[in-house]
Amino acid sequence: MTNQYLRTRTSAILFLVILFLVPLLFPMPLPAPSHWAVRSYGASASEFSSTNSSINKAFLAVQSAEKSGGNVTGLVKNLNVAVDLIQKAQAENATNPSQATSDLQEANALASEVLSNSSSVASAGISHSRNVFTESVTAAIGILIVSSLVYIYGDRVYRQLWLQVFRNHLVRREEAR
Amino acid sequence: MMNKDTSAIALVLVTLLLLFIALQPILPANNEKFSELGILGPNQTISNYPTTVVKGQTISLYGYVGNHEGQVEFYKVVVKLGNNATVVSNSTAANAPEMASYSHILENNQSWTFPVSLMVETPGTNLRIIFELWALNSTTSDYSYLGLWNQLWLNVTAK
Repeated sequence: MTNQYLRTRTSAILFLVILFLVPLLFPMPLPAPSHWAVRSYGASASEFSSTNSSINKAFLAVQSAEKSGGNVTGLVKNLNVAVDLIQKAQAENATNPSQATSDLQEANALASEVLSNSSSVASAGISHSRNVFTESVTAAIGILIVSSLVYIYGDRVYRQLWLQVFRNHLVRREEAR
Repeated sequence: MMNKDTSAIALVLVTLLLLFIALQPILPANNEKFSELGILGPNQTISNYPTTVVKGQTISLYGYVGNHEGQVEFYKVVVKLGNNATVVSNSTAANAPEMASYSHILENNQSWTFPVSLMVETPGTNLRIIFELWALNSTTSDYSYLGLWNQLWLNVTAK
């Protein structure tokens, strides 16, 4: 009776151990309920939104740098590459998600680069505008001074020059025949 | 020889001309500011626009955008599918499903021509492919409708 009881008990424990171990040794995927979110490895909508936001921010910095008189051609070129990368990523997200993610990262990096460079372009623009302003105003003042001098002394200078040029010029009266 | 009054007037005129040339770089430009939007046919000309296509057939066109706003602009061309009841005007954008959008940044006095590839999946008559021009507004940091639009009337057959 005791032996039989022990045998039964051992068998039961062994059965439970095997029952516990089988799923560990041979894991089977459980079917996911339809309402569970399935992890996608492509770029998400928030990643696209974030990259678009970075590009918009960089563009506003470029526009501001241009208003300061900066040459933004290089910045615009780089930012257009980022814009094209976003459009490419949108097109390929369903078919090649890893490439789409990579393109978005590159677009983000370009937008950040443009954003950081736009401040130096703006500074250069302000400096250039200041130089142009100084040159123009100096030239205008110079013109006004020269014109005033010409008005005051022009007549006298002209007569003296005339005298220098025609100093040796002899005027002879033609004798009447 | 010129008399004193004539020479003084000539001097004033020459001075004014030279002042204008010297101050030209810092004078504000007084040009009219505008943007351009156009749709070109498959040969990048204003001809050969498709009028009837089969559903699912690729419609190849070209878009054209020009910037004369006096500053760099971030444009977005939004393509929508409307019908003869769709309302679109210079102040109101069409309330119709978006088919595609194309974005580009343009400096002042630059233009951009780009390929447009579209597909209509539902048959219908008097459909309109509407092109609208939007630009990023620096005040709101969002896109604003510029009031420029174009359309292409189209019949889409089942086969």
